[in-house]
Formats: sequence, structure tokens, C-alpha cells
Amino acid sequence: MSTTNPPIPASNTPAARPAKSKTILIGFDLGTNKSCVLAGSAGSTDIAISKVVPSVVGYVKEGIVDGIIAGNNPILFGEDALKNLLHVNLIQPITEGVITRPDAAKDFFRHIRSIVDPSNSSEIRAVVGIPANADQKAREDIRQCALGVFDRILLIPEPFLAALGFRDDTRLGQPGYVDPVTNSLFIDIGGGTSDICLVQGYFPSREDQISIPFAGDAIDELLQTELNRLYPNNGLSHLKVREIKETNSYVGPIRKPIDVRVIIGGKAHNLDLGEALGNSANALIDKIYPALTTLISRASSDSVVTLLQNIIVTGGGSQIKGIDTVLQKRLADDGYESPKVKLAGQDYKRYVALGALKAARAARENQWQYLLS
Amino acid sequence: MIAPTFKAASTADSPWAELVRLCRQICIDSERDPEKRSNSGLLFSRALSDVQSRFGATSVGEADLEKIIATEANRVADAAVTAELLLPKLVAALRTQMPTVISVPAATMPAPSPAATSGTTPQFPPPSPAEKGTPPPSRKSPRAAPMNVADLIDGMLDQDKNENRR
Repeated sequence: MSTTNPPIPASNTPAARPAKSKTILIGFDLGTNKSCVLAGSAGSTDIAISKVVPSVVGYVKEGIVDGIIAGNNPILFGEDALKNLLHVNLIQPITEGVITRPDAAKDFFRHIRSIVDPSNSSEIRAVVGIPANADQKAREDIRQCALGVFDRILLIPEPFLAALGFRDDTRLGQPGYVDPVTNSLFIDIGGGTSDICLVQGYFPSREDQISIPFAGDAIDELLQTELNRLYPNNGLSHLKVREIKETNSYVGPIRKPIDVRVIIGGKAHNLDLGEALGNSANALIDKIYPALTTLISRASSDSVVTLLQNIIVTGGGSQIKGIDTVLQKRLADDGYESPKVKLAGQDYKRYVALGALKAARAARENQWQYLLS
Repeated sequence: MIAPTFKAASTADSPWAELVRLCRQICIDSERDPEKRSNSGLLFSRALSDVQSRFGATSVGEADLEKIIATEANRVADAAVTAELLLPKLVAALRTQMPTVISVPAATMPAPSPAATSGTTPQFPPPSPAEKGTPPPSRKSPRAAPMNVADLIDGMLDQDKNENRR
């Protein structure tokens, strides 16, 4: 399902609107499976809110007895929705990085606003991360959902925000510190898309970014298919398969055995998933490697050697065991000069949102888009 | 050596050179401001009178003036057309190198020159969509120093505008 609403007139000039007591800036990583929101007051450098929320909306089913759902809320979000799976119709508003369930997405946006501005009294300006190469429709869908929820927005591609978030501002200019915004290659592996982006000190053009609709969710599907082939009628849910992947996924040569304990039909079983886990995650390498080399080929000969030292993997996919070493080895085997692939680190979930908040704090007044109904 | 078909204008203080200079300036002014074109006949006559008064009544004549006007009008028209065609390409090329530094508001772009639209000068095909917005893929060099974030956002917004135009 997709939105068919007419485009929202986005403007850089304000319409008459009531004055709000203060302005809150939001860095919002709207992810397929998990979203991250960082927020702080305009004019300060503090981060008042930092939250990762599963990108799900649960609409409570009819006939649920009072008191089962805390506060008898008709709509639950994130962890609350997942905890009450039995009692809600669970909707994932984002697929492959773009909004596919606009009504649920709008409710999700409202929830994000309620987190950062419970009193609903502030002007909210949000920088929202979008997949590299997101088309006009995808952007328009986000604007539609933000209409009436946020006051002003800016949509910026995620891999660039990841680079901005990864940049350690306190070390800029220090000897030995390589600013990732100056010359690096970011591989942001999310739930719906893998975005690869050449970041070289200017805003990446279309030619600098490649978005592949193959990421965590696609690995889940491959793993589930393989599980169903090896262990028919296993009854494992999609969420359970994702959990297995997040705990055990790896790339590189097949490792056997990897025994995974699961409950099937109320009984505990140990399944050897070594081959299934390896095959499903290695498929990701086969997808992103050609895009990686394509972007390397677009770098100038003066910059490519330094660039090869600065390949950074972020997003949920950076937690796949061995992804850095496998990519690095493959580049080296193909003759690339001393490649170095690094992982963004444990804070990977927040880099896009952190970059978005930095962008929100740096944006000039005339760069914000007003949302006009 | 090719025999000149037109008197050389290289002699700095010759009546011919002076008349060429004055006529060229009138043509340039007319190109910049079409409203001045209605007066150009009078201005050319004044220029001839000025030169004759300085260098003598027989130094240059009406026939010389007509030749000079024809030549200089063509040269200025050609230059205007060339500038008009080159400027968007130069801006696009420079944007690739310094995407947020180069920003030419539409108001500062030259209006289509009368020469380009008059039908008397050969018309060039408009640039293709690729030429207009996206420069050809090139091997990218990093900037020596990173730009500030607001400038980077400007670069993004410029790209969005180009996308929307296409």
C-alpha cells in the first residue's frame, strides 16, 4: 500500500501560526525495524532525549478486557507493542526504508513527538534520515506523515548523516585524526536497505550513493526459507528468526556446527544453523561488494588510497560477525591498495540520528522546510 | 598572408579604431539593455560626428560607419549567444567541484539575448536534461578542508532543486 495524497506544499517561508514557547530539535533515524530519536533544545548542545524505538505500531484488538493493556491505550508503540503481540494488530509502517503504511507511520511520528515534547507546547524541527537515492514519492510520504506533527523538517540521506554522526567533533584538526566527512566510504546496512556512500567533504551527489534493497530483512527471509527447508513445520516466528540472526549471524567460510536452542511445540531443540546463517549473510556480501567497488572507482586517484583506509560499516549489519574482515580481504584479494574496513562500533544505532541532530543544530533558518496544509 | 577584407583596427588613435571602439560600446549597451536599442541610430551618428570633428571630416564616412556597425553588431551578438550557452554549463561544472560555493541565483543569469531569439543568428539546441542538471560522472576528489554543515546542507538543497527542475 502506498500514499496517493497530493504533494504537501513545502515552503521555506513561514505561514501565520501561533507562537510556541520553545523550539526542540530532533535527529530522527526512521528505520525499517528500529528508529532512533535524539532531541535537544535549540541553542543548547545537550541531548535531552536519546531513544531507540522498534518501528512498529500495535493497534489493540477489539474486546480486550480492561487492564490487560497498561493505561487501556488503544495504540501501542515499539517495545510496548511487541510485548503485547497477542493483543494487538502489529503494523510495520516502513518497508525497505520507505513508508508503506502511512496511517501507522503518522501515528508513529505522533508517538515520537510525544516522547520529545509531552506537553505538546514546543515548536518541533526534525531532521529525518532517508535512504540514499530515496525518490520524490518517498520524500513526499514522509512530509505527509510529518504534517501536523512536526513544524519544520529537513530530509537528508542516511549514509551522509551516519558520517556526520560518526565524526568526532572534539578531535577535528588533531594530528592523526581522519575526519570521516572529508574522505570516507560509508556502508550503512539497515533493515530494509544497504546504503553505500562516498563522503568527500561536499554533499554526496546521486553518483556518490548507491542504495540496495537488500539488508537485514532480506537476510531474515533467506534464513527463514533455509530453516523451513531444513526443519519443516518449525513454527518459528519472523521475530524469532530475526533474533537468531542478530545473535549468530556471520559472513565468510561456513562455520559448523552452530547450535541454536529454540522452543518448537513447547519442547527445546538444538538446531545446527551454521550453514543457513552463513549462506544467508554471505548473500549480503555478494550484493554490496559490487556497489562498493563501483564507488571506489569513482574516487580520484589522488584520494583513493586514503579512501581505502576509511571504509566504515555501520547500521545493524555492522554487527554481523566478520563483515569487516571479509570485505577487507575481498578488496585486498582483488588488488586494492591496503584497504582497511572498520566497524562503526557499538553506538551504530545512533549515528544517523546523531548526524541528523548535528544537522538540525547547524541548519540555517532558511534551510528548514515548513509543512503547509 | 590573407588579405584583410576589413580595415585593421589596431592603430590606437586612428579615426577608424576610434569609431570601431565607440560603435562596439553602443552595440554592447544595446545588448545589455534593449531599451537603448531605439536610440542606437542616433548614437552611431553622434559617434561618427565626434570622430570626424577630432580627426577631420574626411577621416571616416557613412560607408565606413555602416561597415563597422554591421561587423560590431555581429560580434557582440555572437558573444552574447556564446555566453548564454556557456554560463549554465560552467555553473554546473563548477557546482560539481564546489557544489555549495557556486550558487547563481536565477536573477543573475543572463536573460536570453535578443540575438539568440531574433532568428537572425543560428540557434543552438537547448542542453539535454543531462547537460542541464547532472554533470557527467567524474572521478571525485575530496575537498582539502571539510565545509561546515550548513554549507553541506546547501549543497543538498541545490541538488534537490536540480532534481525537481528535471
